[in-house]
Amino acid sequence: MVHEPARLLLLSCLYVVDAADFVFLMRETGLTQGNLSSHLSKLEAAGYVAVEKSFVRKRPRTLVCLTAGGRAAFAKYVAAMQRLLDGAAQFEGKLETGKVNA
Amino acid sequence: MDELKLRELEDRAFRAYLDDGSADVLLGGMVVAFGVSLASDIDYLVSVLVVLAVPGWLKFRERLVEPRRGYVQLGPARRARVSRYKSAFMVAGFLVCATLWAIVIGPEEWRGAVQPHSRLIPSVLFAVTALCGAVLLRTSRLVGYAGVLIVAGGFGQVGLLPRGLELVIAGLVITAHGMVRIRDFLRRFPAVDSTGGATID
Repeated sequence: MVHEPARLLLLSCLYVVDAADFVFLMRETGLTQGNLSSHLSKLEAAGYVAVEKSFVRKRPRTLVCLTAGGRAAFAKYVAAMQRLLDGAAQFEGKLETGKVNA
Repeated sequence: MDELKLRELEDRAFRAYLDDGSADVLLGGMVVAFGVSLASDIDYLVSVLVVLAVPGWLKFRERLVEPRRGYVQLGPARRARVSRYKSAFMVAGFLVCATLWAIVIGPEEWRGAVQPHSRLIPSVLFAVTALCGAVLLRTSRLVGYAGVLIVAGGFGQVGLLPRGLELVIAGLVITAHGMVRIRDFLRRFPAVDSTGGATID
């Protein structure tokens, strides 16, 4: 769920703010309306984001925020990727020093 | 993605939200009003402009910026930082008003103390305000505005420009640049329906 690049970008954007509306996410991620709606639906179904629709000064606003579960899932994913990258860097170092046969 | 990259992302989100050029026009308008009030001794002009311009600026953001750039609620750390800078802006604003009072309507002995450097002081105070904004938004153009203000103040100080005109010119330069940024912003970001289509439901 988190690994997909567009959803990862969406979760990254939402991780650093309290909440953002649909337009802001669209501008930040460069996704089209349809793509963004689709990804948000999937993230909402997984319980990673909460979507709140409201009217502000007679204009519709779709506000999206990361849930506690979404925040934890993102942090867990980042930690896993960090471990993987650290391991890859160590392995590469060993390859260069000739301790491991390619 | 490490902490640094996330911080960059948050920084970018914050800058994108405020970087539409309307704040530049507001700053430029204030500088022009201050310059006109110095030139014409209409000392209440700045107060009138603050009363009219700040709500107008907020309305502009509501009507034109948010539907195009979107709305974001910043995190607690950023909000605390913004509130620190707001305090700095308020102090700078207070200093500008106090200077205006000292130069234009203050007691004679205050005028005497301020006047030897009076042409440079308002420019420096506005430049400090612009520099506060430059640090907050991490944008080099506000440093440029500070430079324009200092240069204009310098011209005024050496007597090349009549009183107040240096600020009017600097303010018009800042306003014009802000208008260009607003025009670019409106072209780059057409209004989008914030419902996000029907597929979310």
